[in-house]
Amino acid sequence: MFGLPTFTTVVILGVPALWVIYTAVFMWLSRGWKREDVEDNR
Amino acid sequence: MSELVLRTLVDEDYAQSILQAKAPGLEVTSARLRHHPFAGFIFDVSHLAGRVGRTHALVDYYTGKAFISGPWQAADPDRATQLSPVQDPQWNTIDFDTARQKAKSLLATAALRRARLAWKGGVREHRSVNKVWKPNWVLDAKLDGKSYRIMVDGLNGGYFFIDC
Amino acid sequence: MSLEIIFLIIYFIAMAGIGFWAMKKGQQDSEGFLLGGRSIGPGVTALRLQSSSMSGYMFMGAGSLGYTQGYFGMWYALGDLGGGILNLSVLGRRMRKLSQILGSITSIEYLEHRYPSKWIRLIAAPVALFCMFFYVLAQFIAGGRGLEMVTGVSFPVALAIAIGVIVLYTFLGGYLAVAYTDFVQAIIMVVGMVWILIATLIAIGGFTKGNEAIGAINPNMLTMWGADLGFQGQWGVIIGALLVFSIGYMGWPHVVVSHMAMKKPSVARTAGAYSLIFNLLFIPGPYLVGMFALILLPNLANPETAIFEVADAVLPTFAVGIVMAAIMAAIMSTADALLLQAGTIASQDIYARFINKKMSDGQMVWVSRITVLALALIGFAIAAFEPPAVAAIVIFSTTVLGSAFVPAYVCAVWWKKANTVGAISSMIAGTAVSVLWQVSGAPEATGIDPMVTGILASTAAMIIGSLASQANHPVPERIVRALDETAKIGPIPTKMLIGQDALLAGQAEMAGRNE
Repeated sequence: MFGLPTFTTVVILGVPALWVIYTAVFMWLSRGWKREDVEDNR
Repeated sequence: MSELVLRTLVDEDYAQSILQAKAPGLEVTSARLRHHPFAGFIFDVSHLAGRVGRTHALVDYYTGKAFISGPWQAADPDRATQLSPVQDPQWNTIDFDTARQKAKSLLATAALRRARLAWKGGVREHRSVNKVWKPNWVLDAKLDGKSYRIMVDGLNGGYFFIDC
Repeated sequence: MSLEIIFLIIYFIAMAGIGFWAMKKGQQDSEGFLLGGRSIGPGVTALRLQSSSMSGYMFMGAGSLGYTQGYFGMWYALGDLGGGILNLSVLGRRMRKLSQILGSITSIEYLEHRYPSKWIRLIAAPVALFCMFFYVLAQFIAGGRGLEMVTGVSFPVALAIAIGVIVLYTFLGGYLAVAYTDFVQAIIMVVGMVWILIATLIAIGGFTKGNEAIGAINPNMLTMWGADLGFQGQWGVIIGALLVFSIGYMGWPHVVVSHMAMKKPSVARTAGAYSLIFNLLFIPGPYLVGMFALILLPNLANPETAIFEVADAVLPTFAVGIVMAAIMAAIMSTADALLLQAGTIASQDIYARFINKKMSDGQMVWVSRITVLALALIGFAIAAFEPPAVAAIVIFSTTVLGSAFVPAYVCAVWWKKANTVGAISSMIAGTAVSVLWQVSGAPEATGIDPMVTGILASTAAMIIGSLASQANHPVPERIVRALDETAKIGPIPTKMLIGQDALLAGQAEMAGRNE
């Protein structure tokens, strides 16, 4: 894909995907914080 | 030795309602007012372009933590007799001079952060009070069958869990 | 006068205007004036975290890595992408709470409060100052090169002007560099970079076409192993490249200090998401533009100027002015933030702590000013005569900072047994091993990056030092209490946890103890 070797494609798409997953998991684990913030603002 | 007891701006009912607004099922079983000792300072801090601002700072005797506070309102003299101080825990307490140093360095840092290196310095002490007693409520409360002790700030209604 | 210079001047006037407006707005009461820095929300936290650390390296070092090594440079970018979210998710909330409870103002002072001993500061402050100097040096060189290109004057003259403007900036900072300006600059940095990237992709006929053209020049550039495949299987180097800007980032005193300024601990959460978005948009750009410069400008004398030259080649004239101005401003604000932090470390953490304990506020400012001027002069002397490669010095100083401080900062909030002895051994071991490893040429001989050995050494020293000295140097009771407080989530009803007023923590502790 993109005229790149397969390994390069996998790495440059795969590692950012891991970071996105990491962020998603962190956001999910800390979801309680946000609910509290909303109550705070009311 | 100069001393000042701050007026309790948040009364018992209000303290209770603050907690209940956050957790509707919460039931307060008892409440007592405790006074926490601070060293109080009023500084004139010069800002840029020759402006001077008056700032109040309080330094907690027991933890050494310095705060910038709003102007102080003294309690009515006849009620000051009900002072109920928090005991000195004796292991972390600072003296008045250390408190002064901490207050000054807090203000200098804050002013420097704003005005940066154009700041010429100039934190002048206008007045100091050896002991400023700040009121805090200590509430025992129950929620969903569990007991908690919660502190509610007697000036601004902020709260913090003591233990649970 | 060229169009670029006119835009540069307009840009600085506009930034000064925003800063001045922001100051006027915050001027109404003195409380707001003084507390301005303590109420940072998620957007500004995230963008400051990123923009206070990236500009000079990204615009010069990253471009040159792309130009010379192709996709190998992306290893650094790939680690960097997660640096912000990792930092905020691991340290953010807890460091914000603990620094509040301990009453720390600077990030070095925080270490001393957590690991009580004057040695902590005596070791940490010089190491931080030393590494930050190299970081500032990178900004100076980048500023000088940018100005050299825009104005056409010789490098030493451009460098002197750039350093002069940066130092002026630190004195005018109160008007210029308040949070609003930082925020606007971070956004302009992203827009400028994305603009250059898109224009570059159009000029080379698209991403796939560009890769094919690079492949025709040197097919190795398309692999992850470097221009001569020199890094194939060199996992020691690659892991180091991935770690340096992801984990290493948690050891930068001038970056973690922004955790302490968050409005409330939960800001860390949203800020983490923002930082990932910013990074995904911004970070790959410079590496890719640097690489595609090979097609557009195959004979660059200095690969470090790749991004500046490409911008000049692919953007319309008016846009070159805007984008160059944005780049220069970003470099200057980073340099200025670093210089101020260095000034704070020298005045608060060294002078006031060890030389003159009764330092007056006037003296504090003078020590800061002299430090800033000294760093500027030494920086000029080094950069004018033999400018080192920006990428190399940034990666080196990041490596040393990361090796020296990551275990100290991470264990400060996550490991109750981490004590003073552990922290001191960790900082010494991390600094010594990473510097010696680099200087002795071991990375080439062994194929292992100093970031890897440095951080292994400092982590091991933290664990062994702490465990071996638990009996003689237990963690003081009040710090254990503060850590309990920091970690507390479970027993407090979740509904009420976040609204807590952290300023009351100490008072609650003292009242509770004596009830």
